[in-house]
Amino acid sequence: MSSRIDRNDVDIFRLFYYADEFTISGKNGKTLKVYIRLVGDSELNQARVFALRESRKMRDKLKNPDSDEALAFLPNLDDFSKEEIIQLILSAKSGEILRQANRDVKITLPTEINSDASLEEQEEYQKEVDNFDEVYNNRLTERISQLIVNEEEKLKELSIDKLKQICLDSIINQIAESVMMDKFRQMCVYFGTYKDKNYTNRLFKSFEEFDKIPPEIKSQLIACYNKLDIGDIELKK
Amino acid sequence: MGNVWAIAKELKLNFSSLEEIAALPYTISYVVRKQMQIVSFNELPKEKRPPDTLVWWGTPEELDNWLDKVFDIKNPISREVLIREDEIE
Repeated sequence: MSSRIDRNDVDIFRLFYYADEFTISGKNGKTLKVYIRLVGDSELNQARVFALRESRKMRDKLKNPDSDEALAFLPNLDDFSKEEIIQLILSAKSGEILRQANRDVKITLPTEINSDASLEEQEEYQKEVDNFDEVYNNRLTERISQLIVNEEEKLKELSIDKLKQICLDSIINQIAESVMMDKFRQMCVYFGTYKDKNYTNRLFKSFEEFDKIPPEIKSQLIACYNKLDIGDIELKK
Repeated sequence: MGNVWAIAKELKLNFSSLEEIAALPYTISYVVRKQMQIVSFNELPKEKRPPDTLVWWGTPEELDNWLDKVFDIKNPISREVLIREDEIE
């Protein structure tokens, strides 16, 4: 079944499962009942702005070679060979390459059939829909390999100093993106977690309070929120 | 918001206030907005409608470019409103 386009296998009730009661367990064996709901447009936007500010802060720190963050997260590239640096860059740029490949792969969706189509035409259409993911993924994989080869060729032409700079920039981008995603998700969970079933009293007074809870509790809350959320592809169905 | 309210009423969803609709999860408001977009595209002649790939996977800029192209818009439309001082109360 094609996950990207087949809209016949949509469970509409999934869209309306956006809030639920969950039980969170602490290390001491104690449990806490919480009520979590997906955030609305306004909170989603606030979470996005907050996450962008946090990723900017992290980027600024990483760009300062004397900061703790730069020392902790950025490798000392003096010990790496040219080939190793190129591989590091390609690895750090993998997300960017995937996004580019997704943009580049233009594939026409199967043409919808007329309402009076024959059974054979309907079967053919369904076959095209069912095979769509495979065709798309093959084209995507091809494009990714092509982009990696092109990028590698370009990088090989550059001096080691230039490569080091590109490598650091790519790693900084990757870390900033990861901070953005984490903070965005955490802010959504903070906004969406309540202590009452009417979803009127938030469990945490502030994001700072949420941020200070033990990681194992935080990850449980995030996992519960993720159960309610719908991925981009599912949502587009 | 008015559209969401209308759709909610049509779907017989039991919202008693606008605040409750404002708290709708972003997933539902996304579906409502997308549905409205598709309905408005369907009002265009068939040859001017953006292709499905663009509607579902294109960026807003790509959609804008498509519409500018099919409607042959080269320059943004500008309008002027003249207000005379003696008309201001």
